[in-house]
Amino acid sequence: MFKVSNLTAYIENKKILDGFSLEINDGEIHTIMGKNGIGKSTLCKIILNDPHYEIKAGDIIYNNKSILKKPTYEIAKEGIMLISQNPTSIEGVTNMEVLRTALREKSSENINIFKFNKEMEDACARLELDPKFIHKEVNVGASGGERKKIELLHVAILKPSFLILDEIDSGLDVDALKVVANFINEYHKESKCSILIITHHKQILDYIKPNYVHILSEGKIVKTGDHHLAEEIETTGFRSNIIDENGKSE
Amino acid sequence: MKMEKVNNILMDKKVINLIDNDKNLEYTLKDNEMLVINIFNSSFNSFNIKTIQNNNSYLVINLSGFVNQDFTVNIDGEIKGDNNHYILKLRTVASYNHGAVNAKVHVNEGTLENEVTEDLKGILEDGSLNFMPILEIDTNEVKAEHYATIGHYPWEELFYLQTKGISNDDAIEMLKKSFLFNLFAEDFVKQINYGKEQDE
Repeated sequence: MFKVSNLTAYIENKKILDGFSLEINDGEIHTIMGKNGIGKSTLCKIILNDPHYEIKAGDIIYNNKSILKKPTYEIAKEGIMLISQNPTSIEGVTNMEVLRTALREKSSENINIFKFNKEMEDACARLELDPKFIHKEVNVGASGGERKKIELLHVAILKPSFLILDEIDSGLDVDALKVVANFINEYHKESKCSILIITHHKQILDYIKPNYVHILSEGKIVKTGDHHLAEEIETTGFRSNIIDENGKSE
Repeated sequence: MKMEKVNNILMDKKVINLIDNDKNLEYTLKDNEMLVINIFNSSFNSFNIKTIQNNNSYLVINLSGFVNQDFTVNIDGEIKGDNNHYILKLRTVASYNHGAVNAKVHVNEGTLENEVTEDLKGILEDGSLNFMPILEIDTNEVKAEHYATIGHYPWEELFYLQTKGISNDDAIEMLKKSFLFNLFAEDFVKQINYGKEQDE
């Protein structure tokens, strides 16, 4: 289980999260929606302990352990993976090197190269991603859609138990969105992982059905519902009859 | 010697690969010659590089390595004729002590259609660096640019690697290798053999 309780976070004396709480049971899919700049991406980075943010209260628990003060790589080794909105590119470092190094740190066992290569090729096929990307530098020269697929290639190999998708739908055309959504659905089915989807639009939720949809406003969740809530937001907007200007739900 | 077509001119191509160089180098390029000088130093010493270009030549100097002791490298390029390319790329990680690089290019009066690039980059660990890129241009017809940046490992890249479960030390090692070796062709990187023990 993943649980955030009463989290208050600041950046440069500006309060970003204000008593934020969220509980995700194993295997559940949750979605957080909210206006631009409301702190959705910040929440993702805070979960991975981005040191730019100052936590003044609250805790983040994963599998009955606090991960709040753990180094980022330890949190990742616990099984939490973030796919950010604009995945970073790194010149001179290939996807192969990243995945081999990450696997070597995760397990003391030697990597079965044959199995490793086969898994990567299979994942590329499922993602309709050119397998040449395996040996290419991380996200260098890749389009927005290719970057998202490269990140999902990392998911296929590193097998996280909790996946955070920060606007995975941005930069994807309709066909790529379907491929990406299918991959995520299959991975969820196979691994029984938990997923947190951050998005502005309900389009991706037409393909990936969340158990719960939450609305983030003023640093906390102000409303929770099922996928119908996302449809309501799409029709009426965040400032409509769902949330007033002070972020209070009606 | 290989022939290579550069800017539609067939040139004699020569590559000089040096590892842990501590000797001064002086080279005058022939007309229609392409020269690539690759130098990797696991710990830089003081040395000088002097090059002279006359007409239709293409020079690339790739210089990379660590600062583990105080040193000064002086690189002095002289362009006397027309239609030459001069490209200097330096990558260094200042682990300890102080490194100084003086990189001067002089393009002579009345020369035409020369192109000069100086691209100096350094990463600071526990050492310090001073770069001095100098362009002495005595002609009105030249393309010349220079960059000099000194900083730390890019935070976004370190964070990204850590979100994959890679420790800070290993992430730094990956970024260090890519920074230092990205200049070189694969065969030269294999000769350098850096980090082989760690990989094994």
